[in-house]
Amino acid sequence: MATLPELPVEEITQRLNADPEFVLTARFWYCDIRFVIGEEKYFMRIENGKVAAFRHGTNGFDPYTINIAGPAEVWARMFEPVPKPFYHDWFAASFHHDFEFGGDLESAYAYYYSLRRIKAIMGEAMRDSYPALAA
Amino acid sequence: MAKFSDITGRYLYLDVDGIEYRVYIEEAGSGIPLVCQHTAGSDGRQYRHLLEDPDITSRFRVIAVDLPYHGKSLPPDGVRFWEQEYKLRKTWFMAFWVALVHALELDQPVYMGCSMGGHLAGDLALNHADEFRACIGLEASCWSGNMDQLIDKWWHHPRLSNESKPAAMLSLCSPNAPEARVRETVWMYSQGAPSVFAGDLNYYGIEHDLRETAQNIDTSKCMLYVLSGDYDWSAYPEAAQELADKVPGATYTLMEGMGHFPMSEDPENFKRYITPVLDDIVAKSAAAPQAASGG
Repeated sequence: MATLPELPVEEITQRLNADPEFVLTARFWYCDIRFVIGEEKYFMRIENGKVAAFRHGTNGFDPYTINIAGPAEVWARMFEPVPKPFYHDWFAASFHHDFEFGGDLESAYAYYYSLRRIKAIMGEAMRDSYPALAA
Repeated sequence: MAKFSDITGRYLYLDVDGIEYRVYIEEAGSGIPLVCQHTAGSDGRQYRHLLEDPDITSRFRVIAVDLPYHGKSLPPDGVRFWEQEYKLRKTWFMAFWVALVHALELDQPVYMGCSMGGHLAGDLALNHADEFRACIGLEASCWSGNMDQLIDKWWHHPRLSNESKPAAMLSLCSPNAPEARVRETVWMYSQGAPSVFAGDLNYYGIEHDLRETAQNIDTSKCMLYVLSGDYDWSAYPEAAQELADKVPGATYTLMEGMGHFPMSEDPENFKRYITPVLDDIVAKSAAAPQAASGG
């Protein structure tokens, strides 16, 4: 089973909160998102359009309204600079790969621009933190 | 000196099933008529690059329409559209195109459409083969079902703004396409009336179904060309290939690195793929003089 290095949660938080498109499109958004990468769980809290918290690990009773989950192999493909077909987007991956994009569809649809930026920024931060991923 | 596009836009009053529609059309060029249908929830601007390409317009009279309820084609007078759900029906969709071809007195035009327009390429080739010399289905397939819940609920919801659809359309675009063109493509989605995208999907995802009838398309009467991009998760390559495989004589072209909106999200690469198709149509038209004069 493939593994991925730990997500640089602080770096991702800072980049998202400084990202012009995320700031513009996430306005008024309150949401808890769970990311599952293989066996690893991450929780992101959005409050009023800003990433208020992003941490690795679970307390056992973490609330979430959107769940984005898949094997580490799929996430690794999604973090490539130019992902191959259907690794380029959450929706696309959920339809054609072993990947889950679910939960509160109303929130997900309303803020899909923001969710797209989260994916893009995650990939950029991972490649910058772990250059081997960018090769 | 003012710089104008070569595109001419005007309104056509068109009767379909007893109702008069005021249809906005844009056209450019001369030669074999090439009529173009946009995707669900968008409008004819998706073809603006084709309309301004002299390599195309020197050989084809390119005509792009805004389907009624889309773009600059308003809902018709006499229909209390605010009291009824908008739903695009297959029979009306086909009747619209036949009526438009007759009204413009086009001589066996080439039909090209994308997504729902791509699906219509197969339906027109099956049901109106005498009207068209060829049909080109971009991002076309036999069937796009299993999306009833999305259509009924989430693609037209009072709590979702007109930013939801364009954001979702980004998922269908290729990461290889120029960012400016991708953003322009989804911008057009943000300008569609809220009910129209879901209503169009009634045809795309429910009424269109060629699974049992595609093999009856007669490509000796009306050639069918199917093209699809490998980043299109909706009309994905295997589905598009399946349509072409079912139709004796049809061709399939995989557009590598392309998404669901090839003509607008990546017009430069689209030209590489569509040019051989258009060349083939020109050659076949020259070999069949009755269909070569254009109109």
